[in-house]
Amino acid sequence: MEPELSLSDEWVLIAKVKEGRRSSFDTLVSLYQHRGLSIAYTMVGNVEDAQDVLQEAFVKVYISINDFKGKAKFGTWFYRIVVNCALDFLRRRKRSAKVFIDIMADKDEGGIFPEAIDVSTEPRRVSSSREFVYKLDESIATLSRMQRSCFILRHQNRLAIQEIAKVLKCSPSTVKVHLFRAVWRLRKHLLHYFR
Amino acid sequence: MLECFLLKRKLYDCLDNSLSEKDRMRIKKHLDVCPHCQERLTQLKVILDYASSKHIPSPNNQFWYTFNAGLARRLDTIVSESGTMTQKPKVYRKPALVNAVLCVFFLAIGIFLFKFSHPTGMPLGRQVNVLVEEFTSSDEFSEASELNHEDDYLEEMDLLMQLELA
Ligand SMILES: [Zn+2]
Repeated sequence: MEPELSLSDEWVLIAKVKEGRRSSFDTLVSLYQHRGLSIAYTMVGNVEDAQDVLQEAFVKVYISINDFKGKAKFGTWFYRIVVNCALDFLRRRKRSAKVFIDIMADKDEGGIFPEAIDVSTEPRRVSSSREFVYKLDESIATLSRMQRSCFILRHQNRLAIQEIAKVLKCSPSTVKVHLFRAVWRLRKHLLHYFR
Repeated sequence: MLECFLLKRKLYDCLDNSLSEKDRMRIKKHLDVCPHCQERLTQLKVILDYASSKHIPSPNNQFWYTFNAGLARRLDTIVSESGTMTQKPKVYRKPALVNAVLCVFFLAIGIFLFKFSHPTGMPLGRQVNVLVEEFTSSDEFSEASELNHEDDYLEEMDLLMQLELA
């Protein structure tokens, strides 16, 4: 869902936000909240956390709107902030999960939670498309940050490679390399479901 | 087999509709005679189809009402903690002037304390810029940190070279 506002109207709106008009900021939020939630949701995997991440992203937009000079589209700048907030959140979640695992390991000698789920050794075959979707999500979560970001932006949010390159501040050919590696890693993870 | 290896790079492009006509014909020709690559292409297609058909929730008005109320609270906290929004742009509006003042200030301190022999070498104006840049757009995407294994690195180089050639 792309915002229905011409570039010049959007620029006028952003100028008003820079002047400190909260009502204009609210309009900006309403224009980008759906797309923002979609990116945040596909990055973090559930609505509650996505809501948190998106709020954080809008707060960052609010406090640093004067750094947006209009060289890129506002959307590109905003998606970058959302992706950064999501990655930040995932890193914090991973860290707190690690602490939780350590605490449990202390209590129960062997530890009841594995450090990572090794999908490739999971013996069950795909029994439903729902299970495949679940396993696919799990596999996407094992990709590196760049591979995951590129894959999610391209294949779950339909951003063009050029735009992903701008969002992630790298070249389009780097995006293509990450996409290529992501998709072959996913295949490797999910291979036994195809047999 | 070599053809399979070389075309592996193109199978994804094939599904992402980013192939040249020449490559498309080359792949089509190969797929007609290679069940192995056919199978791999089908598998990639299944993955991409499932990924792109992921259900993304579209929350109701109540969700957005709660969302906006929460956001407003967070913004109010920020505004009350750091002055009003209308005062903020004054700080940011003329970064060059601010940097210049800071440069003169820090340079004066530098001249007196370090007697022209500051070892780090980075101009102070640039340090301020770097800090502003870090604050506003902390870059989470360190390319180097993605390359955890030597294999990954070699694969990356290999692919980049392929892309350069393509
Ligand atoms: Zn083949």
